[in-house]
Amino acid sequence: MSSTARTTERAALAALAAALVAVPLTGSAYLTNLSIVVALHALPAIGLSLLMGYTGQISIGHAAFYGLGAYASALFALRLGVDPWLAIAAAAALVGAIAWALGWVIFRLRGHHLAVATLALGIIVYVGFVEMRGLTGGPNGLSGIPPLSVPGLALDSDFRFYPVAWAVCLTGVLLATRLIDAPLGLAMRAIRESERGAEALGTDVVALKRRILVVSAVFAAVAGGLYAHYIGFVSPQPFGVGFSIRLIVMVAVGGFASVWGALFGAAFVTLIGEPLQKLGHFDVIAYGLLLVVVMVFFPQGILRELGRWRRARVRATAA
Amino acid sequence: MMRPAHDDRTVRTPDVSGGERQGVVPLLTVRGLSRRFAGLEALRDVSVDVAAGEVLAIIGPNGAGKTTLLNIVSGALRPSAGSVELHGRPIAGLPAHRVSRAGVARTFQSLELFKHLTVFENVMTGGVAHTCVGVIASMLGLPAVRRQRATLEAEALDTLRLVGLDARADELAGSLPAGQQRLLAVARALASGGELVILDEPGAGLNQTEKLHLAEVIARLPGRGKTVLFVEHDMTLVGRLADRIVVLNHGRKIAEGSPDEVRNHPRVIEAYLGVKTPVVRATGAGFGDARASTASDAAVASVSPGDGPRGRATTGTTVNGPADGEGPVATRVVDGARSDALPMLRVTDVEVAYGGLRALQGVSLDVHRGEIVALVGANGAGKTTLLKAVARVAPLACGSIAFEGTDLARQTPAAIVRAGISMVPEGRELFSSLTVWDNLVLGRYAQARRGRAEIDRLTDEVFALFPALAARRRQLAGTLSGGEGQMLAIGRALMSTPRLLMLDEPSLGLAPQIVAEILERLGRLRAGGLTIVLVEQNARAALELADRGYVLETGRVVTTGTGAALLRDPEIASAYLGRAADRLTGAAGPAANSAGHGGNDADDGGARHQGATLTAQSTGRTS
Repeated sequence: MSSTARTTERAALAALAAALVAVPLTGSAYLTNLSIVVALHALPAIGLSLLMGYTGQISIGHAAFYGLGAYASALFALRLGVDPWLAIAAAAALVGAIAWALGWVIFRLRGHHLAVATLALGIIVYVGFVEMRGLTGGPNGLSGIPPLSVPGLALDSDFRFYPVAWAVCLTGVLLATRLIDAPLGLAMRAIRESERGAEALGTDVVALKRRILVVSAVFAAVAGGLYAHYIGFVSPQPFGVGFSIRLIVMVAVGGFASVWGALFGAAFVTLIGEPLQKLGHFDVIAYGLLLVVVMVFFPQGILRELGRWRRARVRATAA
Repeated sequence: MMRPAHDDRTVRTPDVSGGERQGVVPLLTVRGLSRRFAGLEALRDVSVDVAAGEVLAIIGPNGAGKTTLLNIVSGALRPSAGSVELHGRPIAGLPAHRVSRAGVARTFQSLELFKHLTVFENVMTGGVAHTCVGVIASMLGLPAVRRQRATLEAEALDTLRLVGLDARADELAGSLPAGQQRLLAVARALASGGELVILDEPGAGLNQTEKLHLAEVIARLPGRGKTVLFVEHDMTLVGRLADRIVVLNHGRKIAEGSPDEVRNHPRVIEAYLGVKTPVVRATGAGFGDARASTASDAAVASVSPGDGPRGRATTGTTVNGPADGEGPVATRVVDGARSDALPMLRVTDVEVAYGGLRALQGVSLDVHRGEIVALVGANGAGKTTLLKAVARVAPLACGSIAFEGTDLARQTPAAIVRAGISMVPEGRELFSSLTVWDNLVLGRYAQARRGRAEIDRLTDEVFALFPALAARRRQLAGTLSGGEGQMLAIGRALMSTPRLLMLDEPSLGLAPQIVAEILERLGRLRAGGLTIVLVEQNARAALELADRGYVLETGRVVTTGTGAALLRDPEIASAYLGRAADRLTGAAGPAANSAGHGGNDADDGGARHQGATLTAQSTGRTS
């Protein structure tokens, strides 16, 4: 990495840290809430980046894992009276196990077939949330989910929940970047580049894909669990195919194979989602358009492409 | 995981000579290996032993089953029958990653590099699977991960130095020139630590300097405890490296031995330069058969060396003519008056490059109306690329291609077909889940406006040319035998009523009798006035049929002439079996002689008779 790139990266980190500290200091509950949502969206986006960007396995049903995490954690807490922290952990473990089992089936498929299978998975899980009224409360959802708490303090306001959301999110970033930087990260990227090549080097391609799917699903499930205990209410609507698509847009905006890019993409998509809310259900069209624009004009992600354009301009003026 | 010590110089040198090993327990034992694909027996009862520390080459013409053999040994394919053992442990049918972990490393013809990873990362990846550190340990950044990375980095650097790529370690693999990508593929395979290193056409697409460097790298491997099994078409490279050679043809092992023995083996020469078509073979080595000599006299009379393509024999005698007479397809009349005009197809100084690899360099050729032009040369010589350049499916870096005076450079592939050029691609590319009839109709689909009657007329012509297809018109193309499939591919190409038909390796994977049949039909098509460009591995058969031929070698035209003249030209032999070099010096002679085959026929190469025979049969004009 060149020294300018390192300087840029340090500057970006400093800006992120400053922004994270500044948001609650503004005293604006709206901004704080928005920032929390960014953190909660960033986790599944990072997980999807690991699966889709690095390992090259598309998933158009990732909202399912997010939703399963939310519902499972809510149910553990509501029905079994489990402490919310434990409920989230148990939900993550359960979703991880589900992903492991699913991986056995879906990774017999590749490319378009995998895309369709994951899309179907997302739809099935969504329909399950709506129809399994006895368990999920149907379209009305589940309410009265207890908030997280630390000894002596219930994390029941935006400002109290804020540090938890970002601590978990940044832990996710740290774990994901370590995985990518480890030699195993090379094997993941190798699968994306050439499965035949990876296999010939001794990588058990299907097994590694399944493991990454589990990691990816657990990231989503933890975020879903945090979401449930933060909002205190879950209903099927946020976990539909629309959210799966938005996750893909986030990863695309971030440049697919980039953990920090996924974080940026989550922030980008969440922020532009605010004005788009006026469109109601038509917001899907805007996300679709955004995805097309990003794929055509920013195939390497918005950050990387802008950086390249700037460097090209610098070279052009220097020449 | 165990890795062979890299500085181990005590490895036993292979004590092999002439295919007989003296009491050495082989590292790899292949027994009775067979593999069938739908309608094609790619490998039939092949047995091979590879001793530890040996460098064994597998050679054979296209479609001989070489890559199938490698794929089975490396776990990419399951055998239909037979066994593969490494150190006496069965590995046949294991998934590829387990074969790799058992100690088999391989490269691919298509390289399968991780193009968006750096050179260094590619090589590091080679060792990842053999150092078991899990997902959770990696995420937590446990000390084991750091140790793993340090080990892999050290090994990768060492391996990159071995192949001489250490200076480019930080570049993206996809940005390397073709030669260095090949080296990288070898380095990556080495990094996986397998003791048996399988290389699939390591020299493909490399220039001489690159090949020399690659050969040096491979030659160093036995000293590092590796055993090498490789498939290669460049016989110079094979001769330089191999301790022993196994020759496959039509899925069978036809010879085994030292490079010299193999090069002089008559069956090998026959396999490479093609067997004479059965019709000719029946006439004996001297072609002294009466039918042939009648025609040949005429040919000798009218074709003197240096004659242009229109100087073909033009006797009215129909010799070896098809029993059922001229089919409707063959009713178009040769327009002899055009002979002095511009060639039908003129290719001028064409250059084509794929990535860093220059597949064609300054190639020029002419194809005249009503003739068959054969393009011959070893794998990777650029024959297919030339066809693709004409069909506008390969990008033209520079040069021009004119068809009937029109520049094709800016045309789309669809416009080329409308202009009257049709291509039968290598491997046939049939629509396997559609019927024979559907495949034919699709050959006309883009021009189907004229309706059913037109299509019926054209399919009838195809069925008249290939009666075998008529009976199978409702059969799925995927269930056809190889020969029928090839006939269908040709038939489909004819549906667009081309004036120029280009065929890429029509004999690929077919039995000699079928090849003869198909080539005979090409002769009939020429008689009907169709112009044909033929790319064919079976050089002898192609040149016997062709009016003229061009010999390509590493992207250039090295020689050209009438089919008969080329058959006697030693350039042909060297284009296929390698140039005389190093220890191969003595071997080039006999091969070359055999290529010219038929020195016993006083004046003319024996092969010319066949060319003349077909010529005589094909043109209806009398001189």
